[in-house]
Amino acid sequence: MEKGTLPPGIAVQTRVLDIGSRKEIGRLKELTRYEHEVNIAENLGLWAEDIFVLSFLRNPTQLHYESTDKPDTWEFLIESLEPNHAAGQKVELVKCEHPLTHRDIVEVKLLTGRNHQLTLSLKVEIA
Amino acid sequence: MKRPLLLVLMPYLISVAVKVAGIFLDEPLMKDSLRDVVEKNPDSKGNHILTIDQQGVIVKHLAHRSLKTATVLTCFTSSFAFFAGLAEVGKPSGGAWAILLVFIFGLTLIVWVLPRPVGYFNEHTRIGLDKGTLAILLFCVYDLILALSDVATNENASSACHLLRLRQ
Repeated sequence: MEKGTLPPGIAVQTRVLDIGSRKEIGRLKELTRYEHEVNIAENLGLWAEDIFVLSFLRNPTQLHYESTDKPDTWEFLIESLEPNHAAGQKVELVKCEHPLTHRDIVEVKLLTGRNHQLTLSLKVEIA
Repeated sequence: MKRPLLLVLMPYLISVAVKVAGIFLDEPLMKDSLRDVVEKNPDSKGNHILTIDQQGVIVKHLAHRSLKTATVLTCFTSSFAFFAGLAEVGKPSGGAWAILLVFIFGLTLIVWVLPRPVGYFNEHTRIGLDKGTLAILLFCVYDLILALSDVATNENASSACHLLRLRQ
């Protein structure tokens, strides 16, 4: 799991989960599907925030998103996240193909309407 | 000289009572107070300046700061009471180790709590409590350990005095 806080105080976590048990997985198996989760906690700032989330996979030939427009990119926008409210968990299916490097990084970039940025780099191993 | 048990326990019991009351009273009282200020101070058009959600956020920030203050106060007040007790009854056996352990435990609490961002202590743990409540319960355990150590030290000192009197 990789976590950080987006100014003015929005905690963000990202992890890869087993689809059935929903347990966090650090070592992925080839030809298996997983869920990539981005969890955006409560907005602890005083004003509503727009948050743009962009997740990027470096080696889409070994790890790729299944149902997004581009296999290496998953993006979504959270419009007007009110103070004291959480956006919650957003998930996207990710499939692990034959391993090439046995290691990969899932990079999640978050950008708010007020130009605050946060980048989370989740390292995963591929068996 | 042996101190009465109630006198030994009093500073720790007060400290625990204040913390337990804080778990149940701090946030509701802060919310009431903030709501009161907002309702009594509408802007020129009669609108309230802060929404309920914004008030909730402010209370979370205040509660977070209050928890940090409680951490530092716990480490100082309880440690001070314990060290004062030790100094009063003379050096007991194992006193240096007790002081070191108390110091390390207190330091661990400070290192755990002070750098955490707002919102961290609102997260729930696996046992169902939020981390803030868990932290306060840990401070209470810290107080109780110090209280028991102080009572034991006091009892040891009293036995030593009694033996000395018998020899004389």
